[in-house]
Amino acid sequence: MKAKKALPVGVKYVQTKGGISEYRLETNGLRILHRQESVAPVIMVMITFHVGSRNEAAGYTGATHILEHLLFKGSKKFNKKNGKTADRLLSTIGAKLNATTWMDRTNYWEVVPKEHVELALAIEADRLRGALFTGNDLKSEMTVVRNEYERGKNDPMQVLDEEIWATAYHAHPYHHPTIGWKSDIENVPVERLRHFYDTFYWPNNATLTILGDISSAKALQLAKKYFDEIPKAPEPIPVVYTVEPPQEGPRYVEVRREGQTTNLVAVAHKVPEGRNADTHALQVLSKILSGGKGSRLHKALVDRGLAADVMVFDFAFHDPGLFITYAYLTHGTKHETVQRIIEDTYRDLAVKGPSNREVERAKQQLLVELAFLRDGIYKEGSVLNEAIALGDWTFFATFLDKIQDVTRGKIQKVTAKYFTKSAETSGHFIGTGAQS
Amino acid sequence: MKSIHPKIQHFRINKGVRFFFSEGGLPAVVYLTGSVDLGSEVSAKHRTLVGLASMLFDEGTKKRSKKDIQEFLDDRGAKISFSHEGRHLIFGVQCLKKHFGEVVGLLSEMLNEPLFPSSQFETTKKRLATMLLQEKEDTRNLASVAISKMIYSKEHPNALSHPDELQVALKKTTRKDLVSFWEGVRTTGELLLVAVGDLNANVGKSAISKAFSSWQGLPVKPYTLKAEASTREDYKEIHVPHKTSVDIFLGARLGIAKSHADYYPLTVLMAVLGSDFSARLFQEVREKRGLTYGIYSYLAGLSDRLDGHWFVWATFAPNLLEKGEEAIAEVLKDVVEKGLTPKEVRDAKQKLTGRYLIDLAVPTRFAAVLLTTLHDGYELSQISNWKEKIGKVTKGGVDRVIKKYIHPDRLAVAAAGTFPALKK
Repeated sequence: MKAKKALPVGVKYVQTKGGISEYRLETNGLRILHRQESVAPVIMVMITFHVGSRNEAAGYTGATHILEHLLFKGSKKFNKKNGKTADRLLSTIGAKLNATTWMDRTNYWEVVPKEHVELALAIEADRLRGALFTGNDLKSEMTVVRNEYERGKNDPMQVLDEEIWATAYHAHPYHHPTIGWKSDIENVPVERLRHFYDTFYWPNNATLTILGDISSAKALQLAKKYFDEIPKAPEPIPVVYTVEPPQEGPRYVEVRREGQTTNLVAVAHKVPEGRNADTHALQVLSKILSGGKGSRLHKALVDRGLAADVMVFDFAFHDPGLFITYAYLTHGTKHETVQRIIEDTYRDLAVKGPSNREVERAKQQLLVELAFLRDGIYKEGSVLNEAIALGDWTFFATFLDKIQDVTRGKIQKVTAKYFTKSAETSGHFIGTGAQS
Repeated sequence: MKSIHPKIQHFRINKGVRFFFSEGGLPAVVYLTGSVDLGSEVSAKHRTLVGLASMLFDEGTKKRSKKDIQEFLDDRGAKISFSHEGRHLIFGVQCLKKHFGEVVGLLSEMLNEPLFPSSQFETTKKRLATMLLQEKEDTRNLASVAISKMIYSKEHPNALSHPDELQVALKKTTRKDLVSFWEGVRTTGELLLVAVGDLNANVGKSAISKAFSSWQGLPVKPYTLKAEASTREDYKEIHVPHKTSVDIFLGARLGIAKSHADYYPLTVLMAVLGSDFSARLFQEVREKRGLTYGIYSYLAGLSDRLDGHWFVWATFAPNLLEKGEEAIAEVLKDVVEKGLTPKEVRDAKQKLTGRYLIDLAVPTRFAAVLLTTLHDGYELSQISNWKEKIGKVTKGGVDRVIKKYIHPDRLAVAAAGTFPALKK
């Protein structure tokens, strides 16, 4: 195996799947993923920390996200005092960079011209344990994050989505939004954020991904050079042990906005964690429901003029998540009508199952979508990031093979199993300006 | 065939159809984008017709029913999408390479022989009406429309239509209007097609020739730049209930097209002022003062012949709006009074050329850049010449365009959101 050859001392080869090879730094447990792609002279460097809003609790919801912002305030080697801020150095070479936070992970990434890969690695290595944020940094960044929160609140779908998750989850931290509750954003002390950083930001709780025009030998040599001396966590990384109790009846939430005209329906059901064997059937089901204009919900709602648009979200998460259908109602359409049609569509699939042709079409759509993930390394890195977050990076590499094993019987079975009325959480966004 | 760019091949299919192709980067699949020129008409009615056509192309052709089209695409996992921007209808195709010929054949049917079926016409109008209601509550969209109306005369292609104007036009639009509109486009609109991916150039050309050789469009008659009144200095607040963040646009008309020599120093100026995290506006208004989540500045609306504008866009909590505006004014004042530093100009040039390389490394992005270059009226050599022209920009050149175009006391300003009390 080529990926195994000529490994630097202290780097352990683990496996290769879908052209991506996995390694470990033996000193500190940092996982490294690499794939060489020489179509263009660019490289993506991404570090994913296995910490997200699922690791938060009351009083510090949104902490992971605020911390992500504060990690742009400077680190020991890259800061304003020495005139070497990461964003300025990277921006000057034309790099694309950002960071994102979600429920199961936080990631920092750069796409750089290949000759600047060391700069990206040096910045991420220094940020890992050398962040310098202070109380003053938090003071100015809090209003920045609050404006991000306020922008989200401008969007009816984000507002309803937040209510759906908060209603569906009582115990598990998927209950609260990744951006946090407003009062937590405004009041979380810097000491709490520093503690959060010191608990979760360690190499043995991170995955470094290097994709692009760089050989495995060079990528591993540089990864070792910049990350090898960072110690592993002195304490075990805390584990989330909270399990959401079974839902014993349908739940409903309503948001009313005077003077607004947007009307939305959401219907959500709990589905298992992304690593569960049922996940692939659910992914095919989401295409049968809303993949393209021939899909069931498009025909039932959009073609009949009841909805302007319909979409299904079935993200595979680390813990049991939600399978949600959203519909934007056309003027004059009743929320109850659309909700009933969505539920009837689920019921029909649970009783009769999809046709073989529907299953084959859905698989074909996924096949083409997967091929388009090779449209630049950033897209591939983003999908890999979500697979890392759910706890199995090979989810991405083995996705297509596992999709091919999905049958109509399997889809019928998972629909009947998960899409029950008693496990449903539905929501209506009611813009009273349009209906009154 | 003539080779213009080392990676791009160019084929003229007939007088109104051009095809561009770049091989590689997308194993097993092909991405095709393209456009139909719709002329310089800018009325709300015209824009409504374009919107309706975009939504109805896949509802049936003279040869295939809506069901046939859906099944054809779904069986292959292929997608054909339509949108519109400025004077162009834009389309995009994603498919496996083995399906390219037949999917392009379907695209041709949609554009050449659309049915616009009466059974779906009223339903589509209803959907579009709902989307316009949503736009009417979108603070960014409303502020953007408002500033465009302050900057341009209503005849200018860059003046946007308010959702209410589009709603009125939509109510009056009939299927007959739509059929007649598209018949006109088919006989006048130039068709541009750009493909990237896993395809042999001659196979691609052959498929495009077969599908589009009967297209009757004509080469584009570019918009003629007219001398118009400059920006109306004004301040407009658009009240939208229950919004927690205000979108604000500040800007002014430039009066020049991309072909003007000042375009390149202006591009460098915008890179320093507001292109990313390291830019002056971001550093001062977000990083130092913590007033906003996002603030950027851009050039917009310019093409080879069409003049455009520069603007700043930001969001603020309603109670921080005034402070935000003050901070923006201070940054602009400083730029006007002191100019840029030589290092800023040097860094911005490096940033722009580096980012161009990274953008072009994404195949679908490469296709989009190529299409925009063609829309701007340039030859493909512009893609490689662009770096050279940015490289020649000097600090003196940037300072000169600052004096000429940036007048903080003469800006149009539009803000949309929920205001505690109307300011003016």
